[in-house]
Amino acid sequence: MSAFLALVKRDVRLSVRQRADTVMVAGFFAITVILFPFGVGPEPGVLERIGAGVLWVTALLAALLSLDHIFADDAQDGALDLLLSSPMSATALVAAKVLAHWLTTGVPLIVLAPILGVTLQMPSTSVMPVIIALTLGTPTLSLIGAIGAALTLGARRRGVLLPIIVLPLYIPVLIFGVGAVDAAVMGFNAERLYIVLAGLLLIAAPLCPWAAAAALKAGR
Amino acid sequence: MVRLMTGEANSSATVTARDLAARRGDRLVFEGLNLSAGPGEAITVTGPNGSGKSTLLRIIVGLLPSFKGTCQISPNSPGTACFAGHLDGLKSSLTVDENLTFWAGLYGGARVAVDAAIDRLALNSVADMPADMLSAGWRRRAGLARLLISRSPLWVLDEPFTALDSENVARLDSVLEDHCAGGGIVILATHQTSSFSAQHSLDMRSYTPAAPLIAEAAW
Repeated sequence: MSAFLALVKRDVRLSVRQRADTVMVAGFFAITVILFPFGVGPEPGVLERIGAGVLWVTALLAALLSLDHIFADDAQDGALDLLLSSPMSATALVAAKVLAHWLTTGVPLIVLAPILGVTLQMPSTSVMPVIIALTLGTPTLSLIGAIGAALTLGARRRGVLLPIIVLPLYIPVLIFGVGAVDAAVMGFNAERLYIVLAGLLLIAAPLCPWAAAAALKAGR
Repeated sequence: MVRLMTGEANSSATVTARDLAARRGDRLVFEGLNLSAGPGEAITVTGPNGSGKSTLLRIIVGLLPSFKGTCQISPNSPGTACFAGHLDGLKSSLTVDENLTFWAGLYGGARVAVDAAIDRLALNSVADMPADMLSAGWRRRAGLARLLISRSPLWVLDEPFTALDSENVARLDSVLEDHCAGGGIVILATHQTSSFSAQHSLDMRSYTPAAPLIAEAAW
């Protein structure tokens, strides 16, 4: 457990020092969302209707941007080999790196989303649903993304390969994430959809680190 | 918390390889390799470029699968072997001290172990400098300090003397000798001649395969 925390702490500290990933993800998310009102126009009702979808699709793409770095930096400077040959299990290693990835790129999205919702004319009743849905959904994005990052590690065109592998797997999170926010905005009970998002997270949490660890070991 | 302590004090580790063969792609790198070492023993692995020294070391620590044969480390617990490869795995935006403290956390080592390792490899003057400010020799020493923190009985080192000046080659020699004297095992691939005298030496040229290309089964 102390090894797990040591790795999470190191990755968060690295990300605080370098800031590149967090700034890139948050910046991409903010700018892309802000483009929509310009593209769609100010007609009442339209933005409000597509707001949840825009937030979620943009969040998916923003999360995708930083996936590459989950393992690539460590592979490049040799730390990954040392980690894989250390007493820490590969599954715990992946889990720690995923947690650090979520803390540094997922959490900023959750913080920004309600603010950006305003530019999409989303009603104030959507603030809590957006926060809850993203809090339940973004860890799953990091978890699934870790599999893609591990599989494409060392591949020459991984920038192209990674989205092709990962984005289809993001679709369930997208459907239920958007559904939950829409349901809450329209006054329906969103609880059931939150439970589905939480269920996806509970399935991904043990499976994805295990799968990504297997991919890392096979790729060495 | 029950945890197997693989410290040097109670070390009775052994490493044994039988009829080991390795492949890279469709090429056989070496075959028929036997190796064994017990507490206090050291092996230097020599051979020309491409003869499979690094491949052998990576198989020993479990980073690569063997093609044929077996390689066993005993006790068969994850902390038995500690690997130091060509790349030292230092994070360039962290200081030397932060880098080593991280590894101490990962290996379950104590803060005193970090200070001791910094002292032992004379890293005091750079301990608070970010790793990307260091010269190649300093980086190498900072990377090797991890071995002292790991408490692993088996050290597997790939070209550890690269970039070190003569004073530090001697310093590393004495670190390795002390590790062996404490019951540890050192397996070392090197081109350089150092004063570190290993009981065994392994020349990879003896294990060059007769037919380097592996004939794949027809589809």
